[in-house]
Amino acid sequence: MNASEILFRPVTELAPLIKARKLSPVEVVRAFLERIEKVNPKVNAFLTVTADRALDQARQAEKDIAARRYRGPLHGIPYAPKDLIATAGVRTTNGSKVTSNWIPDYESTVTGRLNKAGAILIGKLNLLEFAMGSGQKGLAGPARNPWDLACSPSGSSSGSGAALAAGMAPLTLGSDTGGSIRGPAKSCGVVGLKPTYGRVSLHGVTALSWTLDHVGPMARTVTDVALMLQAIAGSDPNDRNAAAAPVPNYAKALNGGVKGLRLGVPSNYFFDHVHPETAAALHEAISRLKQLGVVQVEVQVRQPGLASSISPVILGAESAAFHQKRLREHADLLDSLVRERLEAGSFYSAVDYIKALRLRTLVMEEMRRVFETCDVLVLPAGNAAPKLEEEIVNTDAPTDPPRAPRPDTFNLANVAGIPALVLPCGFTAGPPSLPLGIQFCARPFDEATLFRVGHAYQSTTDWHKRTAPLNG
Amino acid sequence: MNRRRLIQSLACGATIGSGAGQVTSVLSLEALRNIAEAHGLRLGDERLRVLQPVLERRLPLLRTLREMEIDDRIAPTQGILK
Repeated sequence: MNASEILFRPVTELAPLIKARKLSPVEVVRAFLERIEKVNPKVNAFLTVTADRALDQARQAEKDIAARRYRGPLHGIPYAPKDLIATAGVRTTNGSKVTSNWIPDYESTVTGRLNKAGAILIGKLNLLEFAMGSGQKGLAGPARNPWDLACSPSGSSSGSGAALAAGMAPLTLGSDTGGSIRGPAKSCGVVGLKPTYGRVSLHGVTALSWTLDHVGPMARTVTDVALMLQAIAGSDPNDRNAAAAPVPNYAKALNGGVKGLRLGVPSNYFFDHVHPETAAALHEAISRLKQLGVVQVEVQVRQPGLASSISPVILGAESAAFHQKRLREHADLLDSLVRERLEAGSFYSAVDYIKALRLRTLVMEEMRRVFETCDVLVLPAGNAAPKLEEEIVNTDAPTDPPRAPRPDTFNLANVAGIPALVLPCGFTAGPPSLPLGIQFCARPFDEATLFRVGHAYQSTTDWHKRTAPLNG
Repeated sequence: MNRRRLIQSLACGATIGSGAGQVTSVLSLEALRNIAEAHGLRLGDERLRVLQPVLERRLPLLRTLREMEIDDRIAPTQGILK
């Protein structure tokens, strides 16, 4: 198999070849390293490439597999985490000048589990500074969208989405506090999962907001995302919020079919002001799922905008607490957007914060009620990727003319802690032709149902098989 | 005067205007400096200038949050509901 054949193949196809020793992990790692060398100067997705270490590990994997010590479907497969996930002995920058030389002496639980499963760290990925910056003034400038280099891959897991779309890695990790996995998945035409709060340990993931943060897998197919979640999910003595809930066999769940599954489509708020091209793609996807046997039910989410009102208070207060010392000592090194957000977060009172957490209870109770009437909730994942210069300006600031009203479809899942999956559902007519995404949410710890729906849909479409042109 | 009172009075005293269809509040640097000093923060003019526009934009949101009434039985939740 030549190198270019490896780059866009799903792990579910590479793994059996590696297991059968028809494909060497060394060939796989080399193919991705060459690709990174060739296209990263354009895309800027990787901040660090661990070439020597990756090749050493690939050689070791080759020996282990030859000696019948095959560890499973991730053995010999490269992966890359967002660069706020600690990797022992490998620089972890948080995308910030403040921590640009930090080399952790401990491993995050997620990367530790991927390493244990035999996956091979190939490098660390660009992001918005501390997952909250503009992407412009961070450590290395913005990552670019492989579908149009003048466009943003969205953030904050910008490199995680861009690396997948450009064929620089088959598996990546992102973090999501208000859509930071799902936005890049949508904008880059890949699959991203924000798991249930507590499903995946946050140990070793630099905090933005302890109670809204999630770390999750990204890949080009739903099956590959399921494989990754299988490896990283579960309780962890190093994170007391990591839940002891049993982790099901996701590979088995994938082929469960969707016949009779109740698909909730909100009749209020979430589909308002969606771009007509996006709306058409979403409705087409829903029709496709109905043909596969899902039953569409209309749902109404009461106070649908509440999550987006309370999220800034929770995030603002928690991030200001986390970064208090950095703000005091290194404010001059921070991106101005990070700085102003942290400064403002310091001004929320304890009463504001606790009130937001009480309102959060109401959001959770409302979602519990919604999921009594449906098994999966479908939401837009936003419109197509914006131009880079539109994304990197201060997104908080008023604009003239004012931005079109746009319902927030991401914060709901963070505030309620429910799992949410984004996958591609079409492309804009263009030029440039940009990916569009659809979002599914489910009950807490029911990622398996999301995988069933996502896989059923993806099995009948080819959006995930298209490759980005790297033009622009 | 405690911090909560200060921020509440600040919120009440802010002028509401509309520019380009968006509601904004107007804060003075002096007011911000007083608030900061009242809870033990001595912020220079540069930091206050960073803060000013952000807080101005967020005051309407905070005001809405504060005005929301919640049933006494509702306790705060982090993570997910058990």
